[in-house]
Amino acid sequence: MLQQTRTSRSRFILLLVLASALSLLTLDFRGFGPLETAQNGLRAVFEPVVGGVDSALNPVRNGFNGVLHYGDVKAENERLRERVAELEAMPLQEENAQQQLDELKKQMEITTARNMETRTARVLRGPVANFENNVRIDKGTSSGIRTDMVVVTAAGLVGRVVDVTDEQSVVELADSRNFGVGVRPTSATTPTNFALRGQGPGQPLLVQGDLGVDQVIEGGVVVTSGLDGSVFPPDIIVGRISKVPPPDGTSDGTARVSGVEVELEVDPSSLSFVTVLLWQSTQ
Amino acid sequence: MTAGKVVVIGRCIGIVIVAVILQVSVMSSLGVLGVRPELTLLLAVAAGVAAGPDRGVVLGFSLGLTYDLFLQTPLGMTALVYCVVAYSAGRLQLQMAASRRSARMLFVGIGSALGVVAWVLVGRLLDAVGPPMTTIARVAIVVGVFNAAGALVATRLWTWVFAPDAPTRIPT
Repeated sequence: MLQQTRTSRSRFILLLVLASALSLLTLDFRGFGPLETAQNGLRAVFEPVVGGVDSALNPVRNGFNGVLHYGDVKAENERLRERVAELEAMPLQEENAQQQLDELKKQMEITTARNMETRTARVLRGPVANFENNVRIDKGTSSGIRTDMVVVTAAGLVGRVVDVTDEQSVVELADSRNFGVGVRPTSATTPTNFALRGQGPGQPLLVQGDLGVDQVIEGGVVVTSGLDGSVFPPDIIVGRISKVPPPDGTSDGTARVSGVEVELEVDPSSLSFVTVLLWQSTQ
Repeated sequence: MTAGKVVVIGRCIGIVIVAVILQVSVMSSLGVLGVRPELTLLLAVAAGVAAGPDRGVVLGFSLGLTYDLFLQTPLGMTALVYCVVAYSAGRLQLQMAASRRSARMLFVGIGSALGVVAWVLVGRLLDAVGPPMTTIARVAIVVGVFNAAGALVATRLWTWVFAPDAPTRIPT
């Protein structure tokens, strides 16, 4: 009898807690304002403590990561040295040509990522949970940042803002599953626009649909197309075409390829500072 | 409410807050094989195993909800998963009446791995997450092993909260 009463009580508690969790989920899905305010308020209370603990334990964490990932750090160091050498070898004329192009676009009032207002932000931390793929930055609405604004580095596209509070924002990284961006290749013989979709952290982005073989060149750079209504302004470097499978069919007499992949130019796992473009799509 | 209960509630709140702060600040940047340790899940499952399903469900919910504040997934999703996992681990532990060290480690390890899978399944239902199967398997196995290793400390912590006079030695 006592056992039965205890089991009933136990089930009652479980049902009560389940009902609370489901109610919270429902309210969250419906965008219940007070819940969001409470969530942001509580997060704001915790954040300074989290930041303090984070800073205090940073040396221990760095030591742990250094020991555990020594090989990766060494390989990364070598890769960066090679990259520095590459950049140093880049002709100055290219830089000069870019400056002239920027100046021309400015005079013609063509909006590009290089001539719009920006905010530089520090990356506070990477993803909190195992299946998340975002970074938290130290600028929020008080700096003019809004949801859907685009985040870049000098190397190219990082992602877009998905959540903002007064002093912080959460940036969804471009290699997140289902992250979508409209792009165009800069070196294709036939101009074209196509969509890229993220496949998950560390994975290249996948071209949606098939393309003509003359529209993609392995190693070619792709930039945002910035078509009307796009969240992304035009001409932001996204990455390089890393895989062009053999043609798998023809259409209108042109050989077509599907499964083309684009490797991001930015390494989202090693970000320290990013730039938020204070630009929002007109639609 | 007796002074004893106040002390227990105070300790529970303290553990929940400290665990979430450590999870968000320290654990989120540590990793083995690209997998972050899940301290909050460890404590939720251990609460069910050490303190029973009733307390486990409440503590799992509290840990999950506090952790939810920092996640981009819908509020209440982690709380929902943690309370179910903690309850199930506690109920199973009661039915099997297993209190040996190895049994506790096994319960917490398997419970944590199933917790990871359950979290992804709920996330998929809500269209909040959708990692590939290989990633889910890798994370579930690594988290299961991590949490099995930390099971004795975590269950001892909850025993200290609810029964501070209980014997400290657990049968091997």
